[in-house]
Amino acid sequence: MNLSAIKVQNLDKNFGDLHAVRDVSFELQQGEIFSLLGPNGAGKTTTIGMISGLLKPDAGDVWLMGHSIQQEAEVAKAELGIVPQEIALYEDISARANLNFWGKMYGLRGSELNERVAEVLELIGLEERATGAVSKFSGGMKRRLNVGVALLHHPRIIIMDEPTVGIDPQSRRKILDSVKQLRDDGVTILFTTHYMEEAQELSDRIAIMDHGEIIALGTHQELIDIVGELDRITLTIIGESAKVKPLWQVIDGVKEISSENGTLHLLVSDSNQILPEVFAAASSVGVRINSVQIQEPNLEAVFLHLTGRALRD
Amino acid sequence: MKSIIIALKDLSRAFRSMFALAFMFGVPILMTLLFAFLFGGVGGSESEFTVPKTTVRIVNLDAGSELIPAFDFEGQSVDSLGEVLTHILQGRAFAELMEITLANEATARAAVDDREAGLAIIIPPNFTAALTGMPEETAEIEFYQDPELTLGPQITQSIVMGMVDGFSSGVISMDSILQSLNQQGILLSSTQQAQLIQSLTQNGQETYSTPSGGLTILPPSDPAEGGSPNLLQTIIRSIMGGMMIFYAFYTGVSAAQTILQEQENGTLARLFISPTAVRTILNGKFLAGFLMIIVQVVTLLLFGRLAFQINWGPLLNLAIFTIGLVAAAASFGIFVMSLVKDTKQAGIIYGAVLTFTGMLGISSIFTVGTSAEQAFKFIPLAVPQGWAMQALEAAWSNNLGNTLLLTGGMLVWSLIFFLVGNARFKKRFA
Repeated sequence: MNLSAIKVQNLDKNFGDLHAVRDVSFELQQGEIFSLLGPNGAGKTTTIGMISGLLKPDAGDVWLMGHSIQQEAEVAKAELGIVPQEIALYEDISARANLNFWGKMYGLRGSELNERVAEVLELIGLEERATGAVSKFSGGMKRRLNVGVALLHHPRIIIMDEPTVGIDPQSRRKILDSVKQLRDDGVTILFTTHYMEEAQELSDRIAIMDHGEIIALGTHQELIDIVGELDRITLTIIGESAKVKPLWQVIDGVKEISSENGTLHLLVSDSNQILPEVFAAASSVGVRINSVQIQEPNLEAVFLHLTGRALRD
Repeated sequence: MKSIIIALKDLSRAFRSMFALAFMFGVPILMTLLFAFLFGGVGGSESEFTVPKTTVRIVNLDAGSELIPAFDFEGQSVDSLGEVLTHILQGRAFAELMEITLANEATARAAVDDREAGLAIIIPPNFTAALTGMPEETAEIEFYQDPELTLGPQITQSIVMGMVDGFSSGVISMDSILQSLNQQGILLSSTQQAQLIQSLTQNGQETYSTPSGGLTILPPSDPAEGGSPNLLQTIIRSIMGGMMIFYAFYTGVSAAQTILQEQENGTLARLFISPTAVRTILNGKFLAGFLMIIVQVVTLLLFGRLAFQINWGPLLNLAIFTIGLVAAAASFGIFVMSLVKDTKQAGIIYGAVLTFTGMLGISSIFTVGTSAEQAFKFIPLAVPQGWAMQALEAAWSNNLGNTLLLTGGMLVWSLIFFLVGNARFKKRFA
């Protein structure tokens, strides 16, 4: 039986009256990329804090490569590389000095340390800025170095907490590519994000968190299946919806029509094919369509379906 | 090992910070230089501090006393204590401090009025009579001085008054001896009395001609050649020692403040996530402070030695004191920072706690010769800086026993600070 890279069991955490994480459990297999997706405040960072040993859970435990983070903290932590959400670097010293220091904190020494620092600088594309003070770096360069520190000691598990927040597209692309490269090298990656595109692109499995709980967990397809394969067309109209709804209901491919506060939602099999007929029907009864929004089945729709709120709310 | 890695990283960062360097080395040195300028100038042996030489006119009106027969004093026959006083002041021991000319009263006063002399010492006619205990006689030496000059004339006055006190006690001793002999039926001849007076005055002369005599103001000598420090070196040593202690504690707090800074910029969390125990991280922070303060203290001691020829005392004493100071200052930093939540609160610590405890601790150097001197031997011991100051004073006074005792006190402070600070941080980061 394969050993789980990460096993999270019944984690619970309160901050005063705030129940930040509620009975969270999941497992990651070795070499898997697993995303925790959820809006800000969903409990992702708290969960990661407990997995990495930074926060002590009120209940539950975490095992990293079979080592309990509470019982065998130092052994478990040695398996782990962390990319924190905020830049956590010494800005008054150089990129190389940062990597040297953090490498030593993970037990690297001598030529092994020098080699790894050189490799990581190349991987994150900062070889030419290695000796410059970090304070002079752009936000993207700092993010890349922030990632680089976590990779130094060849960890078998990497946790990335919102690693692409607030950076330029070029640096974002570099980070996402490095995640894929790590996956190809057999590293297990736990990734938190509130960008569903990133979760969709990278993840083998995704857990959606809201209010401290995991509300859905599965592969991308399994999650999409929760809402089905239907597109959602959202329309606002000027005129009486009662006149146009019967005409739309008979269009081939329209599965469901609902209305909410003057907005109409149509669940359809193929929005591109049906939309001209929707416009024609409305025009025939003097109803003017003011706005149209098409949503293909994605994680945003899943979240909306499960919580009634948009992911970015 | 990881503690050392953390300490060296902090050390490297501190030495890149102009702010840290300024407070570790710049400010204490500048403060010392400022005091050196105030007390008389600095810069090489040419401009070493010297008490300004005072031009003195002595008017000796002393008519002697029939009770005191003429006696021999340094090869000359003298018949009054005024003459003895004049001889001593004209001696080699005070040649660096004053230039003596004998004058009559009018000429002496005119010289002072015309600013040709800084001070006129007018010894009254009944000086010997008053000192030898004639009950109806009181005498007062008049010091007629240039009001714009203060330091030189005051030093001269102190010397003269010290001598007069010496004479008084000598005469009292002689009187007691004579009475005792009389009670036993022994009467001294006038020659024998003269020999006794000669012996007492000779003893007084020796007392006031040596740097270790009863005077507060010491004549200049070269400590590099094993002599006692001169006045400037004594002042500068106290000031620089005080500044060094004050800013060593500042460095201790500054080094420990990196715990809060790292907490705020996320690197402390990253350290906690690494396979490193909280205890190791805190030990690293303590070690960083310890190393920084060692560098600071050794640099300042060397600077004091090279720039001002300060004699800090025997190396062993100094090493013992340095260990105590460094341990106390580094652990004080850990303790103080464990009481505050963030760097904003830490700012108040710099402004209030460090200034208060620091100034209280080194207050003894500002109360020397004042009515508060005695009290300020004990009040500063309420804070670790006070123990450090007194340990340093014991070290340079070549008092190994007190150096050990006071350093032991500092180490006790250190242990308490370290244990409490560590416990508080561990609880916070649990």
